[in-house]
Amino acid sequence: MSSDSAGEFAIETLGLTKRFKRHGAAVVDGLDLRVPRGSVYGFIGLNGAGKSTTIRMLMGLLRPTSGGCQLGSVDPHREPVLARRGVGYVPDRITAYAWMRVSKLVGFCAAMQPRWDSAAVGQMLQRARIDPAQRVGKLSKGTAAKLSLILALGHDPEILILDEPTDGLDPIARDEFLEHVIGSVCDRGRTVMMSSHSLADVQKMADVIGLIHEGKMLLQARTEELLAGTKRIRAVLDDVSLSAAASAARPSALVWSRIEGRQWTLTVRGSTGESVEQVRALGAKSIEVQDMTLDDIFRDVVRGHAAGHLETHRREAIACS
Amino acid sequence: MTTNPSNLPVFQQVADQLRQKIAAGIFRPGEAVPSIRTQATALHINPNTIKRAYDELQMEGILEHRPGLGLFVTAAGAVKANTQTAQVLLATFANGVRIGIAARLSKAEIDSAYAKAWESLTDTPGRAIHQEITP
Amino acid sequence: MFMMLIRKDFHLQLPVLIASGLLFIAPTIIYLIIDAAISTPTTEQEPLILALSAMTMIGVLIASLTIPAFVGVAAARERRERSAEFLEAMPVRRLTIVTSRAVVALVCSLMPAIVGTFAMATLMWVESGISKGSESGTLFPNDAGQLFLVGFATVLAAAGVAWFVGSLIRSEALAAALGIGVPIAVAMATSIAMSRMSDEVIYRLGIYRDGPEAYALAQLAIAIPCLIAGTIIALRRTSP
Repeated sequence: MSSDSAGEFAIETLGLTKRFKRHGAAVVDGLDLRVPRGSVYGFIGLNGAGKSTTIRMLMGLLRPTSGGCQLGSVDPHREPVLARRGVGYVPDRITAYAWMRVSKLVGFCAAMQPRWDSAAVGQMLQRARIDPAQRVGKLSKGTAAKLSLILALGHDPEILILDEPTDGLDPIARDEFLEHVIGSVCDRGRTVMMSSHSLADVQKMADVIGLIHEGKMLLQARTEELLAGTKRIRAVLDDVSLSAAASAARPSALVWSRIEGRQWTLTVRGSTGESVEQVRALGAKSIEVQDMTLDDIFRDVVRGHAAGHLETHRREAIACS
Repeated sequence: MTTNPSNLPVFQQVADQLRQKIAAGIFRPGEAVPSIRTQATALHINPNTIKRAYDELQMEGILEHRPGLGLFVTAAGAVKANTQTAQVLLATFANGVRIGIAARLSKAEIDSAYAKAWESLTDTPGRAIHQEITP
Repeated sequence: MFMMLIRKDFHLQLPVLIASGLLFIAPTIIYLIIDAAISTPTTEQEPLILALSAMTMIGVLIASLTIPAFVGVAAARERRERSAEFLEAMPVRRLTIVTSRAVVALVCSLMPAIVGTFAMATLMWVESGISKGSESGTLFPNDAGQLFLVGFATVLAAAGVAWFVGSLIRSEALAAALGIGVPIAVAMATSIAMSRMSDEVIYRLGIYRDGPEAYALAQLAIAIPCLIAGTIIALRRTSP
C-alpha cells in the first residue's frame, strides 16, 4: 500500500482473499476496496457474496488467506488494539452479552475503550429511549440495533462499519436507525462503511458504492458518477434476422445485453453516445436511452457478469474515481 | 433522452421536491428551508447530496444563504421555482405522451386521457386548496 | 479493564458453579433422605459422620470433574453465543482476554477441592469432639497428600481437555463431555496397564502397583500438552 494513499482512504484493502478450506473456492477473491476518508461507502452484493467475510477481515475477526487491509492507516492484523480504537463496529445483530443489563454493558464497553464519552452515550441512550435497567437479551430487535450503534459510537470513532444493520428491522425501527447513522455522519463527518442489500437506502446514503459478487469487486464508483454514467438503451429490431448479429454485438462499455423478440435492451456504462451509434449502425430502430436506479444497475451488472459481458470491462469498471 | 422521474439522481429529486414545495407556497419568500442535517436525517439521504441540491437551488437564485442563519427562499424564489416546476411538469407529460405513442394512440386519444386526468383530480375538494395557495 | 473481564468470566461460569454445587451436596442429601426413610436405629453417631465424609468425597469427585470440564469450554460457549465477536471487536489484547478466562477457570476448578477440604476438616473436627480419646484420623486416609496430587492432576486433565477441545470446536457440549470422559478413561487405562505390567516393568518405572503416582503422571501427561496447545490456539485463532 503506497504511503501517499494513506491519507486519502480511511479503509483500503489490497488483494484481500479468504479461503475457508485450503484448496476450496475463495469466498473473498483478490478484493481491492477503497473507502475515501469522510465518505459513506455502500457495500452491496447478494447474500453470500462475501460482504460479511470482508468486514470481519477488516475488523480483524478473521485472518485473510492473502492480501492485506488498512483501517485508518493501521493494519488490523498487526495492531488490532490500535486499529479497533478508531473503529466502531455494528454487526448484523447484537452480539453483546444477553444477560447483562444495558447499564452494565455500557460500563463494560467503557472499561474496554480508553476514550469513552459517558455523557454522550447517556444522551444517545435517552434519545433512543433505551431503559438502562433492561437486560440486553430482552430488547426488541430495533432497540438492540440502536444500542449496538450507540455502543459503537461511544468512543467517538473515526470510522463506523455496519454489517447489514437494518436487516430484519421493521420499517419504523429501520427509519430510526438510519436517522441515527445519518445524524452521526452530519455531526462528525466520519467515514461510514455499510453493507446492505437494501439498495434504495444505499442509493440515498452512499457517496461511493462497491459491488461485490462471488468474492470479487465487480464495480466501485462514486454513486453520482455511477448513476449518471450507466444507461439502459432500448431498441427495436424491425428485422428479426438482425437479432443474431445483435446478440453477438459488444458495444463499447457494455454491461449487459438481452434480446426479447424484437426488443433489444442493453445496459452500458460510460460513452453512451458511442454505444447508441453502434446500436444504430446495426439497424436497430426507435432507440431510447433511460436512466436507471441502483437496483436496476445492480441486477444488470450481476447478470452481465454471469453472461460474461462484463468481464472485458471489469478492469475499467474497478478504477474508482 | 427519456427519463422516469424516480430514476433521476437523488440530488435532482431532492431539488425538484423543494422547488415544488416553494412553487406551492409551502416555503415562501423570506422563510428558511430545513437545514441540511434535518433534511438528511428525515429522508435518510447523505448530507452531501442534500447540500448539492441546495447548491443547485442557490445557483438558480431560488435560495440564498444568510451567514449564521441558514438558507432562505429569495424574493424571486417562488416565481423561479414555478418555471422550474413547469419544466418538471413538461418532462412528466412527455413521459405519458411517449407511452401513448408507443401504444400507437392517436393525438386525440392522448388529449382525452389528459382531459380525463384533469377532471378526475379537479372533481375532488383538493382543487379549492390548490387555488388558494397558487395566486 | 482486567477486573471487568474477570467479573464477566465469573458471571459466565455461574450456572456451572451452581449446578456443580448441587452435584457436590447431592450424595450427602440422598444419603440423609435414605437414612431418614429407612430409619435403622443408629446406636452411635460415628457411622453417620463416616458416611457423611464418604458422601462428601463422592461430591468432591463429581464436582472436580464437572467444574473444570464445563469451565474449560468458556471459549467455545462465547463463540457459539457470538459474544466472542463482540469482545474481539474491542480494543483489548487477546492475551488479556485469554488470561482472564484462564484465571477464572483455575479458581473455579480448584473450588471443589477447597470446599471439600474445608468440609472434611469440619467433619473431622466434629468427630474429634465426639470420640475424644479414641484413635483419631479415621476420616482422612494416611496418604491424603498423594490423593490430593492425583486429584489435582485429574482436575488439570479435565480442564486441559475441555480447554483444548473447546478452543478447536464450537460445540461446548462435546468439549465438556470429553473433559469429563478423558480423565476417567485415562484412570481406567492406567489401572488396566498396571495390572497387566510385570513386576519388573513396574519396578523399573519406579512406581508402586497400588500407588497413586502412575495415575497422577498419566493425567498430567494429558493435561499439560492440552493446556499448552489450547492456550496457543486461543491466542492465535480468530473466531469463525
